[in-house]
Amino acid sequence: MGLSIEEKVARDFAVRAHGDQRYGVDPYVVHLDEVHDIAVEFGLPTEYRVAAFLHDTIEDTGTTVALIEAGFGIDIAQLVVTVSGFGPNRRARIADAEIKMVAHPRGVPLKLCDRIANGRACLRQQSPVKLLAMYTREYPDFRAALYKPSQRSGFDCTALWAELDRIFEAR
Amino acid sequence: MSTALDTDKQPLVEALLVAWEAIPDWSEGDLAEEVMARIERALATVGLDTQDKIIHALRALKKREDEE
Repeated sequence: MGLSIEEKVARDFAVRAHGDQRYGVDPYVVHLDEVHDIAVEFGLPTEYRVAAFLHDTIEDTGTTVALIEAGFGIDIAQLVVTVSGFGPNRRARIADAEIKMVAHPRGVPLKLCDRIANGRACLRQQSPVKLLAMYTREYPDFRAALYKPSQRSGFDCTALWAELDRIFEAR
Repeated sequence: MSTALDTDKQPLVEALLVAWEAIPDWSEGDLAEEVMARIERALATVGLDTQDKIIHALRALKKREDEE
């Protein structure tokens, strides 16, 4: 894949920051590459392609917002913060991220790429039943919360939603 | 921005520095100023300045030489 300097640095940093974390059976970078490639596939602008590599660093590695801002600029830091959810459980983390995305809809296209990657990984892997069931169960609320904000994101998310519908609504 | 030394976050800062410094020829041309600025800002997030970074690097080098 032909990456810009910023994309290369973001990927290298994210790989180091995630360390030996796994995404299912795969090294974590497999998920990061997939989110990045989906951002490319759907024509998202450069800052999303950089943020794709960084999107889980604050939530999962303890990377600070200040460090992302120092290394990659405030626009990318804001994207990463917006899609990061914090709380004691999954429900609380989802709610936290959704509140931020309603307030800062620019982050929604990145979240949609992440969820497409989640779905595609479930369909690809051999024992995806529980995870796919969870994402499918969550999808109506996910769509209800983020569809309108996506229309204010500054990016036409029609194709992203169509792909999500294909993955989760046909289940 | 933190002013106290945040040792917990130093490995992440190191990871960022290594990532930027891995770019071929990063220290030449127009990119150098931008990368140096990013490195200095990253160091500042854990309360380190460029001078501190050099001291840390020398200490690490000395320790490695002592071990060898």
